[in-house]
Amino acid sequence: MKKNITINMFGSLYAIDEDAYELLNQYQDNMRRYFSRQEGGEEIAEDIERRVAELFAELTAKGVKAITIEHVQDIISRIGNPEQVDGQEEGDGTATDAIPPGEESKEGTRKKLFRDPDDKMLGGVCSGLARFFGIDALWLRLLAVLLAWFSVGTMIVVYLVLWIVIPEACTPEDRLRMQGRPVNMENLRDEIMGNIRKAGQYAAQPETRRTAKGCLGKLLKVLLVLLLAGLFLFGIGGAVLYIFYFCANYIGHMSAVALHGTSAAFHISQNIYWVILASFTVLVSLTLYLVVRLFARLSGRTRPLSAPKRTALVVLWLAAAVTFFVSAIRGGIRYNYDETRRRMEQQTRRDSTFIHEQTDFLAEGGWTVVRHKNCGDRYVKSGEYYTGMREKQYIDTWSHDHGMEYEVEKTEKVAPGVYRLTAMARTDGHGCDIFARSGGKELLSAVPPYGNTGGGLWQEARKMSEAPADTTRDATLKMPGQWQSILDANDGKGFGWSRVAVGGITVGQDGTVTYGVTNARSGAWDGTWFSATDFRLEKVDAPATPRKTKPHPSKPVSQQAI
Amino acid sequence: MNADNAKSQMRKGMLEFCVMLLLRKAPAYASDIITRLKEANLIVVEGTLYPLLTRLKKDGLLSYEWRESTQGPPRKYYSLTPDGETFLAGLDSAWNELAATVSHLKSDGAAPQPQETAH
Repeated sequence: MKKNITINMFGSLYAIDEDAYELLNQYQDNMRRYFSRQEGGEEIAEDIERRVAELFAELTAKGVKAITIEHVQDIISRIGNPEQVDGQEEGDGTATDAIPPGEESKEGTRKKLFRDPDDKMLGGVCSGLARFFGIDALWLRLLAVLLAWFSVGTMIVVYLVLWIVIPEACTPEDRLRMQGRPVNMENLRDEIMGNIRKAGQYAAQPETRRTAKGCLGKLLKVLLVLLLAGLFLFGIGGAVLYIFYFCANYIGHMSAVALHGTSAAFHISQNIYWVILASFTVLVSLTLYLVVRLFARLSGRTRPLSAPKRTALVVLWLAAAVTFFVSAIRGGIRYNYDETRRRMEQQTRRDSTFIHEQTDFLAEGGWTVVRHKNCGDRYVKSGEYYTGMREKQYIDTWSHDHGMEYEVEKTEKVAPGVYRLTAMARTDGHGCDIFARSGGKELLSAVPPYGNTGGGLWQEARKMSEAPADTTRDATLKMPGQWQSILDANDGKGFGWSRVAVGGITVGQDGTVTYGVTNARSGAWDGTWFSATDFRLEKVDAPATPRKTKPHPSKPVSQQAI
Repeated sequence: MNADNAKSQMRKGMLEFCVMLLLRKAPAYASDIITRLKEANLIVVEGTLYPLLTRLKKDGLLSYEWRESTQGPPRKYYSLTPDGETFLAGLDSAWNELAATVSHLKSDGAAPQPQETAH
C-alpha cells in the first residue's frame, strides 16, 4: 500500500505515488539546478518538464491510474540525467559557457561537505567532517571533545560556527554528494527508497515528539545565531581595541618619537578613528563572507564566484586591509600624540602645585630665586638632610643637563662689620658656590663635590667621634649633640654635606648683605645637582676703621675711612 | 579512442544538421523530432535534444509557436527561420562534399587529393 498524491503539471492533473513524486521532484530540481548555470537553461529545464508531462499524459491515455516509481524511473532513463543531456552537447564544442567540462564531470563523484543528519550527536558536524575526510566519526568526536577541553572552550565556538555554516544534507541528492557517490538516477532512487524506509521507522514515534524536537531545534538555531552575532560584534570591538592599542603603543610611539617637535601628528584628524572602525568592519565582514562562501562551496551549495566579482571582492578586501592598517598607524600616532600631550599637561599641573609648595618654603625663609634655567622638577628637597632628619627641607635642584642654572639668594639687614657666612651644602660637580655680597663686593666659596655620600661634615663628625671626649668637642662642632646623627646619617655613609664658609664679608653703612647659593658664577658647572641649607651669618669682628666711630651720619664715616 | 566513442562523436556532429533537415519540410514539436531521431538511432537519451533546440533558437536559426494539444501540455512547434534556411543550405553543400569525398575514398582510396582540389 502506497500513499498517492495528485500533481498539477501545465494544467493537467496526474495521480502519482509518493515515492515516485519524490524521485521526480528530485530529478527536476537536479535538472533546474544544473541548467541554471547556462544561458537559457531555465527554458531547457522547462522543456524537459513538459516532456515528462507529455509522457505522463501518454501513460494516462494508456489507462495507467497512478504513476509509480518504476514509471518515473523509466521516464528518467529515457530523457537522461543532466550530465548525459548536457554531455552530448559538449562534444560539438559549441555549448556551455559556464563551467569547464573537466570540473563538471568530476562533480558527480567529488565529495561535498555536509552535516550528516542520520548520524549525529549534536549537529552532525563531526560525522559530516568524518565523511568528508573519510575517517571514523568516533575519532573526530573524541578529538573535538579533547580540543573543547584544552582550548578552554574555543572549540565550542568553532563547532557552533561550523554548525551554522555547513549545511545539513537534507535532500537525497545532498546525501549522495556527501557520500561522494555520483548523482545519477540509480543512486538517487536507492537513496530515496532507503530514506522512505527510514521515514517509516520514524513514523512509529509519536508525532508530538517529532514536532517538539523540530521546534526546539529551531529555537536553538535562533539562539545560536544571536549568540554568534553577539560574539561577532564583540569580536570586532575587542579586535579593534587590541590592534589599535598595539598600533598606538608601538608604531605610534616610534612615529611620535620620530615626529618629535613637529606638528605633523596634530594634523591627523580625529576622524581617523571612524576610518579605522569602518575599514575594520568592512574587512572583517568581507573575510567572514568569504569564509562562509568557502564552506558553502565545499558543500557544493553555491557556484564559484564569477571572475569579475571575485576580482572586485579581492580588490575591496585589499583596499579595506590597506586602509585599515594605514589608518590604524595614523590613529596610533594621533592617539600617542594626544596621550603624550595629556600626560605632559598633567605633569605640568602637578609640577606647578609642587613648585608652589616649594616656593612657599623659599618665601618663608626669605629666599628669592634669581635664576632657574633647565632645572628639574624641584627647587627644594627633603630626605637627605645631613643629620638624617627626613622631613627637614633644604634648597636643592637637579637636572640631567649640565646647562642647568640655579641661584637663590637672600638679603639681610645687619649692623656694619665683618661677617662670616657658613652654610651646609653638597653637590656632585664643580662650579657650585656659596656667595655673599655686600657693598658691591662679592665673595665666593666653592662647595666641595662629594656627591651624596661622605662629605666634609661627615668626616668632621667622624674625627669628633674618634677624638677623646671632652667639653670642647661639641663646642668645636658648633652643633652640640649632632655629630653622632651626622655620622649615622645614610646608614653611616653620610649624605655628602660639607660646611662651606665665606669669611671677611665687610658690611658697610647701608647694612645689607646678600648671600645664597649658585652654580652660575664659576661658568664651569659640570655637575647635575646641588643642595644647600642652614645659612648663618656671624659677626666676626668690627671693621678695622669704621668700628671705632660709628655715628649715624654717613659723611664722617667716609671721611674716617679715607 | 574506441569505436563506440568515434561513432558517438560522428552522431553528435550530425545531430544539428539532422534536426534542421527534419524541420525543413514542416514545423515539428520536440516529441516528433525525438521520435524521428530515435528511429534513426541518432540519440541515446531524449533530453539531449532540448539544449540543442534552445541553442539553435538562440542563434536565430529556429523559431517556435505554441499549439494546443489534445492530450498533455501545449506544444512548441519549431520551424526554420530564413537565417536557418541559409545555414542549412550551407550545411547541405558541406555534407554533399563530405559524402562525395567519403564515397570516393571508399571506392578508390588511391586518388583523393585531385578530387578534393578540383572542387
